[in-house]
Amino acid sequence: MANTTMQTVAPASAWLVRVRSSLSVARRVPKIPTAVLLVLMIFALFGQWIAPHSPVAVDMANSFAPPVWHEEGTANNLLGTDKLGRDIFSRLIRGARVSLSLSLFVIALGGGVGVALGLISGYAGGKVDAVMQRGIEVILAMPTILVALVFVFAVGRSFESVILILSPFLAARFARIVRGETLSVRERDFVAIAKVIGTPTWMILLRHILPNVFNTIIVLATLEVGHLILLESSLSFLGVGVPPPQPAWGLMVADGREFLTSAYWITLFPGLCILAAVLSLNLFGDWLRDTLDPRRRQL
Amino acid sequence: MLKYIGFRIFQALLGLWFIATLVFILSRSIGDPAEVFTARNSGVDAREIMAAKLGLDRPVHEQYLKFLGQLVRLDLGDSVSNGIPVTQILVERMPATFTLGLVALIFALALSLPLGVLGAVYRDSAIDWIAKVLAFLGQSMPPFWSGIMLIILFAVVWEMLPPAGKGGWQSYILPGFTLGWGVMAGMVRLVRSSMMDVLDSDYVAMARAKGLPEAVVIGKHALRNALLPVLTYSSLVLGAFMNGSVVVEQVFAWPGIGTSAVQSVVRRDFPVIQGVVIVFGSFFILINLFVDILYAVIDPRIKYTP
Repeated sequence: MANTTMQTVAPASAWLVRVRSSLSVARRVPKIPTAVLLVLMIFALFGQWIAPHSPVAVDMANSFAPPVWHEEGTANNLLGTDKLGRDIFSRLIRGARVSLSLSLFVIALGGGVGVALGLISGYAGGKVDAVMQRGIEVILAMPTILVALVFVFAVGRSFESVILILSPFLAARFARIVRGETLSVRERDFVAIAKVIGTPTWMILLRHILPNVFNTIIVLATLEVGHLILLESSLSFLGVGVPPPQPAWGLMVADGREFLTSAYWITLFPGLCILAAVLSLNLFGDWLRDTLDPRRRQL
Repeated sequence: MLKYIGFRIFQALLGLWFIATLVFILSRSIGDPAEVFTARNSGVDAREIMAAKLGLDRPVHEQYLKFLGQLVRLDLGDSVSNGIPVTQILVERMPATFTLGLVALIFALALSLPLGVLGAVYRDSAIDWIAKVLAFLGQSMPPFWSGIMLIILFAVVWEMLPPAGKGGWQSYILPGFTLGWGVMAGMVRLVRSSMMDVLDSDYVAMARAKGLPEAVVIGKHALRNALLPVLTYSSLVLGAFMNGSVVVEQVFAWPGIGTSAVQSVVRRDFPVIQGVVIVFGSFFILINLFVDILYAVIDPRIKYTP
């Protein structure tokens, strides 16, 4: 009610309406997933000041200390310690940085390339499109984890090699979806007009098509971060991810496997972190899709 | 139609060739191939024999043709850690991986069909919520961790099921469920949405108008039509299982191909890794080919646009 009166009575305050409507969108943000994601981001950014201990400090005298709620647990190691006496809580906090930064690098690299390829492929059409789509299909038809195993075997285990091998797979997924969107935007009137007045192709792609597929890209990126965290932790678990002593969550789960019955906390908490992160990203991404891009419920 | 099928077969062959070439390039670029294909501490003799076998003194294109020739004859070389031919290792381990994938598929279908159908029929009911929660969890849980948690609960705490290894039918339950759960998530969503589409269609309204009992309308008229996308998806899922099996087999010490891939990485046993990648990659491509052809046969609207 209030909104409509304002619109009709005072058009000058249209910005107020816009602020209000974006506020009402903000109020509908899924609260728990957003909170979880914010905490993880704070951990990733400011982890070294929040963590009570160094994530790699070995303290053999204090190995396998149980979490604080056990009888022998102390507040010094809230979530207990692993076989080398390293503080689980501190390692989890630093692990957030490993998982998030790696995923963001892959999104930036693979996603960037994928968006560019998708725009070109969809806009150019014809032979260019056909060749690119066949290439993308070949990449999508390869088993990611196995190819990553072989690649890391070949070039050695490092943060960078994991980014390099995951990026092409992400690029292919981005390219396929952006291409589909581009195909439909290409047929719209404003693109035809831009062409008629002689706008250069790169300008049409950047100024007219990209903004119209941007919502899809944002939604896809959010959902893919979750997917990447799962992939990265699987690789770490298999021993071909980020090298130790960097505290990657997947590696921590693997570390605890031998001590399942005696020290469950080494395995339980890193897994819960992965679950919380990916679940929050999926829920947040779903909400984002319904808000920004209601046509693509199947994504 | 034939033209389309012919084109898809050509494309699949192209994909196979691409994977083989990728493996060849990798094997020649890691280091001295004679060293890559022999055990780490083997002597000069062994490396010279391997160099002769690989034809390393010949020009690269001859080596490449030789490599392709051996592939066509299914000769993948011998494992460097125990000298057994790679083809034999793969053939021995294949059944374990396939049965696990099959069990996982059965789990996924058995869960997602009823949950998806009931979720579509009774929207926003309790069962719809349960389906959603299960799906979201399956999608977000790292399979290696959910597997370990299931082992703790069912094998350690309640001692109901064996914790690892391949034995009686009980040993299939935990790994099968772990592998199937991740896939079930996508399936529930698919069953639910395609079922909802079908329920809104005219022929379902017609069936209801004829006064057929609701169970017949849903079971016969709606479900059958909603199943087509699910069938396509399940065959694609077999491909996804190959990816998942690497991790899940590792967790449950399952004697399949995935385990041998991980072990060979640890042992730096390149011939075996190469074999696994080629076999898995080919299988992936063949499944995609099969699904596309099946789809073209079932759904005549798919025309031959390559």
